[in-house]
Amino acid sequence: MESNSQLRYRPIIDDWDTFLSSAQTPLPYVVRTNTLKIESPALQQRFVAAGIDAVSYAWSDELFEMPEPPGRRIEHWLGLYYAQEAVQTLPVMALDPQPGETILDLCAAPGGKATFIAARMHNQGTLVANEPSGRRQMSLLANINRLGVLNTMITAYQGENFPMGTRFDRVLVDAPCSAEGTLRKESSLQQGASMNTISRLARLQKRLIVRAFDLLAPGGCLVYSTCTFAPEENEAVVTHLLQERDARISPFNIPIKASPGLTGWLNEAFPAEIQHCVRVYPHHLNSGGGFLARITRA
Amino acid sequence: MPVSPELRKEITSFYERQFGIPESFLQELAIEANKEEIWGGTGVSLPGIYSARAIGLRIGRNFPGSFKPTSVFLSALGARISRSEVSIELEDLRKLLLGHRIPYSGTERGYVALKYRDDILGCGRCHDSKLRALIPTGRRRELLEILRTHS
Repeated sequence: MESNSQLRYRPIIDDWDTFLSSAQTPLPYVVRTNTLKIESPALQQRFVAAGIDAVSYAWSDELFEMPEPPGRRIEHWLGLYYAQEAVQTLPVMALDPQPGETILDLCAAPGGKATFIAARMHNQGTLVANEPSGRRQMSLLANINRLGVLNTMITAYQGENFPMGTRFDRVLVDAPCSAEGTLRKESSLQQGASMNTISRLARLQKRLIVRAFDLLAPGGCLVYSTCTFAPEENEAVVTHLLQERDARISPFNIPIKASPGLTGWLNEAFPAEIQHCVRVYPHHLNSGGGFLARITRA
Repeated sequence: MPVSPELRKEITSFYERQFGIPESFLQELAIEANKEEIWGGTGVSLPGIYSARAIGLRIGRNFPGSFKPTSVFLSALGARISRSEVSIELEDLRKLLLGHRIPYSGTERGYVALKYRDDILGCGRCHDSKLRALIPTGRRRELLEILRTHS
């Protein structure tokens, strides 16, 4: 059944009926291998030995779909994997972290992406995981400990006021958002977010993306991501950055079907290069939905 | 703040002597300490950025005249550990997780790495022919619950 809020997005979502059907389907249980502690083939062997029919993803051998909730297994306790929606791994793949770099995750809790970044860095270099909320910092810290992350510093700044003393090779802004893309696990979001919420968050997101860009070293890379469909929190935020700074949107490949960024929404036109952004809907990869932009600094 | 060369040597020697961790591995860690806690990490401090805690993981606690390893660091070291492992069976593990001391007749003494099947679970201590787990209480409860669910 279509809600009024979902109908807002009908003109922009490909294969609407499949989208609606997917939105009503429970999310699969997915885990990401923590390669700081185990390689994927060895983890798969453990699953086989335990009689668990875990299926690896065709587009990422680090991901496994599990037949049961993954949080109550000893492998989880040991930090051999992180329970994570498949769509949540895409921002880190777009960021493409490298060992030895200096990287900032501006909105890091609970740590699913930060710990993935650290794994891609092989614990080499420095990752700053920023989270202003003390309560959310606790979950971030617990995950860093459980997964054996050695190269990460936790900071507690308001993201939009993060100090300017250091320039980073890469910055991830997985921004606070209205989370419409999580509608498969949060039934209240089937109705979509309110415009008040969207407007309030968009104002914060614009401050975050500008500060994140200013923190980039020359030649650095910024990934802006959300888990929402609202163009006001996605294309409009990236457009705001393009208006405020000399930023470039960089095309990138992700290993799944996706839709390009919108070049217009309601009465607003966005620059043509916004097409290089990526919209992901639940039916594209049997996961949640989201938005990604990869931005470079000259 | 960074530890003195003497304390650093004491810490790396302890992990090599007790757990067989090569000093060359530990040399990659920046080690910092406050009055009681010792941290090890591979990242570096950055200008103008105040860290809410030291970089990396807590690798030990420093008491006068002794050094206590941490479960979180032993778990991160995992298969690199080649000494002072004590393998435990399921029933004994349950008792340890409940906070009990269990009889121990092996040859290890002092701090040990508790091992269940092929996995390092964390820190334990052998003393007076008894073994006890030094895994933090919350983590012990989590593991106990997992063992209840899956056995």
